[in-house]
Amino acid sequence: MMEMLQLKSKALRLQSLDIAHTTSRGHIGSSFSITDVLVTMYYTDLFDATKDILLMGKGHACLPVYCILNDLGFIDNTLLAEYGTNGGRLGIQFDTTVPTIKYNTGSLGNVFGVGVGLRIANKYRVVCAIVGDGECEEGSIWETADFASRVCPGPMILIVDRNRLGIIQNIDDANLGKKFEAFGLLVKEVDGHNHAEIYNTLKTCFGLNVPSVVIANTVKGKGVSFMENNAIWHAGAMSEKQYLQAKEELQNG
Amino acid sequence: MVDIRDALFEQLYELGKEDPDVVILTADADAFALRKFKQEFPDRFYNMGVAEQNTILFATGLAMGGKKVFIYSIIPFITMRCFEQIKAQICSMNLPITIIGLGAGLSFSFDGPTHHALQDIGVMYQLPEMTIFNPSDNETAQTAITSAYIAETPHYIRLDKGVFPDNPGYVGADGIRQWTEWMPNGVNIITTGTMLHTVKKAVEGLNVGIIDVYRLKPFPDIVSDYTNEGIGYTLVVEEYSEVGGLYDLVKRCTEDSSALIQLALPHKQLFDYGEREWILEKYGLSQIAIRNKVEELL
Repeated sequence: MMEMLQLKSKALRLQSLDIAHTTSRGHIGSSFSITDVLVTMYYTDLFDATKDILLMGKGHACLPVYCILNDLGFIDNTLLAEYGTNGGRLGIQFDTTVPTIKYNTGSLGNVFGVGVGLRIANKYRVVCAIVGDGECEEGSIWETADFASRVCPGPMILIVDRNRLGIIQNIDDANLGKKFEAFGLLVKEVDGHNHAEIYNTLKTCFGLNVPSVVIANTVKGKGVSFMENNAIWHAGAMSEKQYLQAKEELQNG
Repeated sequence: MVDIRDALFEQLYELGKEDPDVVILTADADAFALRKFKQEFPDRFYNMGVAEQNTILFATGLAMGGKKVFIYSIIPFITMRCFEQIKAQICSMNLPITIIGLGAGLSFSFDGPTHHALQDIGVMYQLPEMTIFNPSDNETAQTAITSAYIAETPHYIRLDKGVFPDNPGYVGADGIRQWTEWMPNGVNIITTGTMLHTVKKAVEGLNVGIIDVYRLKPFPDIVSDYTNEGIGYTLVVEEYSEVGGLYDLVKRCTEDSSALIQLALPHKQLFDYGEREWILEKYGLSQIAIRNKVEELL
């Protein structure tokens, strides 16, 4: 299974890179840091897009998700090609017209609270929310943290993509996990690029009857040397030369 | 004699008794009739505490999961503190969530401008998906909550505090109630909310048309039929700022707005403390002031 996930991650990064380069639209850095988590979820028994709900708080990392949904047959090639075009139905944020997507993204700090409500309403089997570490600066996250630990019957997972970079800020909060724990939440940390670790931890957490926070330690721009840990690639357009170099590194990586 | 809050929550209790999808969230606000719901359906009642953003988010998740959610809290905080979430979470997905705001106008008259509801109509009006009710009595309060329940779309209901006269036998239409015959070439009053009762008392014995707009958004088309007819005067009276309230809405649909006269509170945050009537009198919105204005026009 791990080999399959590796191959999928590689293919996904390459496809996202191509689309981002062709359209000059795409938050490549933010997308590459969360790619391995997304692959682990969508390509295993952890997540079924027809029964479960994934709230992408960091909706700007939509490109890998669109590619996954295309690969799984939910989005056809014609629709995928509309990304980044005038009047195209795939934006840089999700909306509920996209197949399997049930939530409009774009505003940060909200998916945790929404996730708790969804867990209690109990319409979906799995409820998972993915946020960035910059996103955790929003006060609303902490209003929910306090509420969730008291009220949520779980399992509901908040995954934090801790790539330690915002748009112009460094975010190195060593206390992030302790903060969530102080609010009474169960916290786990994983290497956000190790599929086995991600899989095992998420599997455990989805089996609990309390909510949990999984902090995925990641690298923004993972997979391309000049993008890694470089905030410029939060959302940047590549030159032809950069594109070719990135492509080569990903293919050989 | 029933407090307007209890009339609304009594109706919501009845709706919730039959429908297990009804969930009530309060940001630590209380009402007598609410306690009955809490007691009988404790798993459908949440006290969210002093956390408006999370309240909106939790409501969003519940509604996405099939629930019909009713939120109750004090107006300035539950509308404006978390306004961006109301827009992007509730409204953009057109969810069945109703915000019941307590303290229309100067209900909290000793608490200063942080507790006055003098900007909320304008603010909530900006949301394309939002329906806004401003009931004047128990009957319109119950109409508002029932409409909200049936529509299953974003709703905002402004609630007053206290006991207001019951009004049997009125003539109602979609969004308005016409109390007395409209005088196309005479003097008329358009009002909204509990100011209606002051207006009725103010013009007792005079031949003045009165319309009570109990639904502000969508704005009732029929109002323009009245205001565009004849050559009389229309006094628009509201316990609200002179910017962004009923007057602006009436003016927008009236061809000749020179016949419109505005009676409203000044566009200021009012650091006035006192009985509601005292503050209203200070700003020319007392029963006597309204009568004087009408007599002047007649």
